[in-house]
Amino acid sequence: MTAWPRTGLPLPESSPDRHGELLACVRCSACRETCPTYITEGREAATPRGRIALMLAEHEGRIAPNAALRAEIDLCLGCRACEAACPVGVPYGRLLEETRARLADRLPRPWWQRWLRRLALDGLIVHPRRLSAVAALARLYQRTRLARLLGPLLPAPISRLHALLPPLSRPRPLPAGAAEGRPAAFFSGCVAAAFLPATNHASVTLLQAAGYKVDIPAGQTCCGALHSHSGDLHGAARLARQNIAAFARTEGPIVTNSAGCGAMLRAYGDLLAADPVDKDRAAAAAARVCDLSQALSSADFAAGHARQRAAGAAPVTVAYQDACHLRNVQGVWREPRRLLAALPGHRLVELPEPSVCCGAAGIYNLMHPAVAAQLQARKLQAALALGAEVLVTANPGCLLHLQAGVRRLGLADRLQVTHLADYLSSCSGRRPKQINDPTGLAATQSSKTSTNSGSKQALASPRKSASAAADE
Amino acid sequence: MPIQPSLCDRLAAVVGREHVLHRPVDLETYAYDCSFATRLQPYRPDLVVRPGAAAEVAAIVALAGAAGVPVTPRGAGSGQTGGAVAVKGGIVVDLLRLNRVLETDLPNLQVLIEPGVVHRRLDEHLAPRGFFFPPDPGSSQMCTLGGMVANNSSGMRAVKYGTTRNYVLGLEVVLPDGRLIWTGGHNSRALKSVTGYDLTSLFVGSEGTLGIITKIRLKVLPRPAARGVVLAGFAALDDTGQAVAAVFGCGLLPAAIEILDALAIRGILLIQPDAPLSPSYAAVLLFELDGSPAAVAEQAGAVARICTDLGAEVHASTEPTRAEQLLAARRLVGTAAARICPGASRVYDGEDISVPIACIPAALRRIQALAGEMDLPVMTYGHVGDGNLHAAVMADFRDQGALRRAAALAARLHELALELGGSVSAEHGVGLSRAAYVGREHGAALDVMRTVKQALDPRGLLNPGKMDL
Repeated sequence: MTAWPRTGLPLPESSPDRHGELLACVRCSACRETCPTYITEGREAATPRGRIALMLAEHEGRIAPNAALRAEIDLCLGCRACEAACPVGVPYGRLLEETRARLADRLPRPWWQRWLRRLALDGLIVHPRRLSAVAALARLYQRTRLARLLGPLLPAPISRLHALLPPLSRPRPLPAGAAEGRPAAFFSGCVAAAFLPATNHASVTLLQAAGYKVDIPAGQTCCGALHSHSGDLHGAARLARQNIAAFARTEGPIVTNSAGCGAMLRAYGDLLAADPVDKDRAAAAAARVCDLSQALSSADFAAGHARQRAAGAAPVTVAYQDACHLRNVQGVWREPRRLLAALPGHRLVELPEPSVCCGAAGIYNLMHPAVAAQLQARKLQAALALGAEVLVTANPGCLLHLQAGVRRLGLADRLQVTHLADYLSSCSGRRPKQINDPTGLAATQSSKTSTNSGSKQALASPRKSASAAADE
Repeated sequence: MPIQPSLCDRLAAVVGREHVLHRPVDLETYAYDCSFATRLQPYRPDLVVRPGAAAEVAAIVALAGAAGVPVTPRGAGSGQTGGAVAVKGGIVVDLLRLNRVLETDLPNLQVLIEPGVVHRRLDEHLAPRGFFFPPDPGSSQMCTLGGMVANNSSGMRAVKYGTTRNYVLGLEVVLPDGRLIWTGGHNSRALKSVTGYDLTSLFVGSEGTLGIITKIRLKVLPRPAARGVVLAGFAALDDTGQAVAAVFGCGLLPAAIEILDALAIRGILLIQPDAPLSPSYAAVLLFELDGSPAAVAEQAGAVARICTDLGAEVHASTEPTRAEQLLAARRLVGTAAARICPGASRVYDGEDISVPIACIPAALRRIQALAGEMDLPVMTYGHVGDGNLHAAVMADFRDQGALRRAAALAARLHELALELGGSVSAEHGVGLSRAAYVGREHGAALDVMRTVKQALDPRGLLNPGKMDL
């Protein structure tokens, strides 16, 4: 039986040469030290080589597809740092997701878990209105005494989810597009749109400031990454088709501010490779995908748009945390650093172990809180040890996870964790959105704060302005 | 032999319950290393124990000895001979938790480390202090120093700097009866000592059959200020042999002299597409030179002249990043062999022969003939400066015929090494894969090895089934 509804699409359950790809691993263990779960667990089964050996043993029938096997496969964060380290080029990420799909088929989860997953993946995140409603409820919950009353009663995963949420702000429409400029299409994402409206707002505003005419096509939906990572490849394919159709009407790069979404969007060609009708359209859409940092870099955004800081002010020490799906999967790591290094009055420091995951990994931090918390603390401590005052990331998942870590460890007065879009926006000198935005809604949260202190004034403490934004 | 629950409990009391692994999903992942032998036949241990201190290792060995259970030490499991796999069952002792640098005594040119320290980590520790541990295996980023000592492994720079054995000053070893001893003087930091039998040398390369190494006192050297690389592409194989002889003949001692055959050149170009190599070369020599910037420039010039005179196309680079890129591509070429033949995977057997330096061109030709005879792609590269050739056989692991031919080819490669007056393994070890050849290579000396084994491990409980002991 299958745990997921079949769509009747010609999607292969596994790649034609899955056995060959598993055998391609020469067991050299070059991946071991890059693996976050090796760092936290130390066992061979918690390394990529070990997991490939388990996948192979299951494929060849030497071990049963049982709960113990699934626990080992589920322990993987899917950060794919191992792929970057692999001399042979074993497609670990694909093998992992295929294994999860196989296990979902051969070893169905209990009915209530399947029901919950379907509720979350098919009943919630693909429906923007329902997601907004949840965000509104969460906001209400945060602002009233409900939190104190209900908090202790919530089931553990829900309270973990709640602990992840930053202070939520009111949703606002994204800024209207300029009439001119190079075309670009913005992928707004599901969770980011509902829970990080300010980040999306800042992203679009930055793109406009960089000279793009930004189209935000209606009809776009969740990218399907969470479906794909949990083994629901059919669900992911369904969403891929919807997004491909929505973006077919747009031109220019498809820009996202989410590393996880970007990696998934870029994989549409692979996902639909077996579909003779859609494969070319999928590959074409995938080829247009780019990260916000790439779009801004190619527009040479950094140079002209950041505000100068007062002469003599101490430089702000900023560290950049690579999102795994940006660095390891999409190969994007220079661009965000270039943008940050170009900010006047900033000193960019390099974190050790840049390819090691922060522990967020989609919904991993909800499912494996202990491992996630260890990796989170490691990352935050490393940033503090380098004297960083600001930790910038380019992925909503990492952002929420690291911000929650700062709250959990009581580091809020020492380290500000922020999204690249929010941070660039908070340092922005010009406010080009005013041109296109008579309602004033377009002002980002952070630039609103800096408006209060006067945008001509030197930016004494960017941390203050952005944390004020978060409190808004 | 099944492990008694009471033994599990006692081991858990020593190392902590979370460090005793017994579930099939864990045991399956300790059933292999890189070797062809364990690819064909995985050997699941009955138990894996992960100690965090030397005293814990001693306690594990004592408890296992009392119960008559075999013990097999394991580091990174990146070996290519099945050496770290429990072929007779029993307990695998995973030493990766013992990964500390305990002393950094650079005025005395030495460090004291635990066996689970990864080679690259040691290099990262020493580099900023201006020192280095010269042996540089291709597996630097994964292999442990414990594994290097146990197999006396080396790498490209063995030409000038020798093997791991040349740098081990002393070892802390857990003997099969659970005793903990120091070789090389229990309180000694001497760089030279001639007292007593050289037990350090006995344990170096003993592959975990005589004891488990728990601490290593290593000699380190001042790091050369500069490094240069000379690449020389030859149209005729025999000219490479002449070039190596001419370089030595001129009084030059490069840190490394590597040879790459045509298929290996393709492999390098896959890893480093802008490497100055042409796929039309019959072979390429890669010279690594080190020393002061002036000395490197002078040596690179001399090597380049010799090769040019022999008709080679020469590319020299003394720019550090560029030189490091070329060396990194060379280090990875063996592992990346499978990229050359999609669908095939590397067969780690017959992969480490050594022959007299002068026989290298002949050996390369014989290897290519064998590859043709067995109808399998074989990429050959290696340390021509010390006669060590790595033949990378590639086969589709789902093709039973190809697997049989690969096994036969490995055997022929080992025969070839013995016929040419070489050795079946220059730096990877014997383990399971080459046990059958120790007697052929050593003759009556194998009986002496068995006598030593018998004296220290009369019940044969330490890493049984290896080295034909």
